[in-house]
Amino acid sequence: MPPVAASTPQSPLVAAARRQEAAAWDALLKAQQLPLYAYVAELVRDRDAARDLVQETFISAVKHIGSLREDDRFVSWLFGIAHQKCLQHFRRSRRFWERFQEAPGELDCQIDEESADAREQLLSSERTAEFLSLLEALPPAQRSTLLLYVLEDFSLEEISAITDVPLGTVKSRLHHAKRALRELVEEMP
Amino acid sequence: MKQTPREALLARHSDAVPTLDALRRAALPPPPLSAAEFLRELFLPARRTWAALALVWLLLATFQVSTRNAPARPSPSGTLPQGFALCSTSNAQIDALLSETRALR
Repeated sequence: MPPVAASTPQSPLVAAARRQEAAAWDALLKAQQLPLYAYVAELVRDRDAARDLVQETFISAVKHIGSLREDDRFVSWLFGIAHQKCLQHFRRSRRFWERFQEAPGELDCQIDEESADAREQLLSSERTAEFLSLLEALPPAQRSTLLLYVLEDFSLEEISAITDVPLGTVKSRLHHAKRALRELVEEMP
Repeated sequence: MKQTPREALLARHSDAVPTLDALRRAALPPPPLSAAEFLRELFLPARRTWAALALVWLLLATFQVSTRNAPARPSPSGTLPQGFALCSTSNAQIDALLSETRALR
């Protein structure tokens, strides 16, 4: 199942959703519910909490659709709401919140521009099992960036908007995430 | 068959789909009400309050009608109300004062 963000024109559905048409909301949320849940569940590592956060995200989206500026950005807007809900969840737990903060020197790292189609070998289909098992070892901020990159094929600019961090930080996090995964793979027997 | 990381992630959480379906349906906006449903929603939850208000309105309307039909109370003949008389007196004094002022010019 390919990501819906880039392939499906959603403007008519979003326009109907702005009129609070239940059928349009049903279609929009149904298309995104599983990727959204996967993102939240992988980030918070608690399935009960993930369900609550996804429900809160759905309710917030229906209530605050007026804050969506561009209809074509619906998916990234929805993930942005979910991301904010996750941050609120982390803030309730001091330990997780501290882990989510920037790692020292992260912003200083200069990363070359990466093309979207030149995916790392680590993210290729042959290494999927390793990817899933090692994802848990990443710090939450890097995990969040990598998940958004892999799950919905969001551009770096979209990830920057969703996570509300500068573009340079997104590039840095993605670079660190890939490097950390590569190192973990190399350490594997 | 090899899976992409995305497919593997979605497969890992696919057991949550029935729960997500229920969460989604619960979050959907309610369908718009018809006129009859709107009136029912408006009146039924507070029907006692609406009935009490209607009773008060009826009592006020009855009182209004009964006082309008009652004969007007006659005032004492040939006399003006006290306030009106005082006002007329002061007006006459002002007129006299103005006349005197004009005459002096």
